[in-house]
Amino acid sequence: MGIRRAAVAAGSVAVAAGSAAIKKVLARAPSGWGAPGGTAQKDPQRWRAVTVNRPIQELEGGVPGPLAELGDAVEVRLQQAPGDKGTELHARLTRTGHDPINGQDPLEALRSALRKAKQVAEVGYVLEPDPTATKRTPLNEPLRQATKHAGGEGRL
Amino acid sequence: MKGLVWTGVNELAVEDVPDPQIQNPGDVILKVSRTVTCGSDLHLIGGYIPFMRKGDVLGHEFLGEVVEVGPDVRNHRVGDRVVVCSFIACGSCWYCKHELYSCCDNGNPNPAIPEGLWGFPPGGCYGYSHAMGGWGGSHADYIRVPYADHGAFRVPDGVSDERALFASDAAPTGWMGADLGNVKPGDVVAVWGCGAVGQLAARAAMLLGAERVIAIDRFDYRLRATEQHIGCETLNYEQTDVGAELRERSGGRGPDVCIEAVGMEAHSPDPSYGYDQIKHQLRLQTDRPTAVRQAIYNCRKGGTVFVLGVFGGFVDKFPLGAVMNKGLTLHSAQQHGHRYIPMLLERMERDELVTEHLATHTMPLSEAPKGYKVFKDKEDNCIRSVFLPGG
Repeated sequence: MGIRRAAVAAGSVAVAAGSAAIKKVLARAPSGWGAPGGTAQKDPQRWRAVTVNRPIQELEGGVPGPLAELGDAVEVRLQQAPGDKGTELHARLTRTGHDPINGQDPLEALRSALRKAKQVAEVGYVLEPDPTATKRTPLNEPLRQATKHAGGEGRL
Repeated sequence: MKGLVWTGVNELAVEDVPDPQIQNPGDVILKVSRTVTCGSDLHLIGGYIPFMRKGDVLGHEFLGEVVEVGPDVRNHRVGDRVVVCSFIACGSCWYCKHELYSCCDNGNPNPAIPEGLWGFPPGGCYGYSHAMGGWGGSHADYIRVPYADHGAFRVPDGVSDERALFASDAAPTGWMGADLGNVKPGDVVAVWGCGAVGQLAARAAMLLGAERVIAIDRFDYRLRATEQHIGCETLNYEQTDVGAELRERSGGRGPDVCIEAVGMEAHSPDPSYGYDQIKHQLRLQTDRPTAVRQAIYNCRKGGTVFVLGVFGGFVDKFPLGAVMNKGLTLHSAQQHGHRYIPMLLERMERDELVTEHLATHTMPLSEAPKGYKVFKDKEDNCIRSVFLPGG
């Protein structure tokens, strides 16, 4: 009995200490904790950028096809990159909301177009992935979904 | 065609897979003549890099014959015998122009996956999971080679298939460790791991003028092969105090350059191995960095540590204090093979770089699952298993 009481008492002390530690951590938590989506909420109006390894003069005549195809859904600006890095290609959505662009989530469409525009300017074409013949399983479904959107935004 | 596919954790099978097609004007189609296992494949097969799908074709080190060329290809013709760099790089982006080919901005069609993992995506790699582009692997009868003018290299007539095969990945990876590790004449260099990459890193250090090169492993047959074919000193870490030996063999200074060629599934006789293994198996850490810790701890003050072994995520008990307080330079990369392969083929032709002994087991592709078992379990003194498609 004595041992059991001691064990219960020790357990209670441990729980109390753990609870106090958690309260202390939460009290010092960054302000973003607990907010929907954390601190990394997407800002749809933010400028997105890629750097293209080509001189700015080559791009001033017109942005590469994949970005031009988004039309007035995006605003585009060019800027000389520092050093020998080429040209910064910046773009942002002109409309708020979640209306799809060409059937895609607007931010995904924008990021994907920037990546493809860079390839067209640097290489001359967009690299086609190998066609997949892999088998669909419940275990690989999350990876399939991730791959489906893997041309879009990547930062967690 | 036939291909070796991943069918689940530690499960492989040779199955019918679709023939590759020219999809971009810079592509060639290669008939694979030789393709070889790599230690980093084991991380994929074992599920430690969880981006494989059932049916993915493995393999990234290979050579073969060009059988079809895209309309923009200038450097290759049908019938060329070429070795292909395992990393897929466009040759045009800023990284490629600065010879950081494995960092290519354009070679990975799934950039958002590695961006989430690592901040920015590396280039693509054949047969190396969907995080690295989902590219078809070389353990198959045929393979598509994108950006072929940059990634495929004609093999000189004087270099055999058996030797040139290792110019695809193991030799340039090893060379990069010594080159970017800044090995100089007079240096003492320690290399962790006597697999193909470790042996070829040791050989590269010797060719770059190192005074003394010491390779470390636990398998006697690998140590003997390193002594015999590479010509450097060796240490068995299960039979000797590696730190003490390295210190005294370098006059009490410690090696100038420490090259880690082991990767995320390292072993150790220390109690720390049990700790790492438990955390690894419970997926509380993704990688076991035993050899990296040793390389950092034993490197001389102001020296360089190069991490050649493949790591995928996060490690525990990383000795950042030693890095900082000893003023170490820590360097790492996936291989920038494009910058080294032509030079390595020339060295192979001059017999300065020999690799045939690494191919301890050669077999038809149909026996590839067995080849991986022999390779993984280090049965029958295996260093690498080589597969012959169509055989």
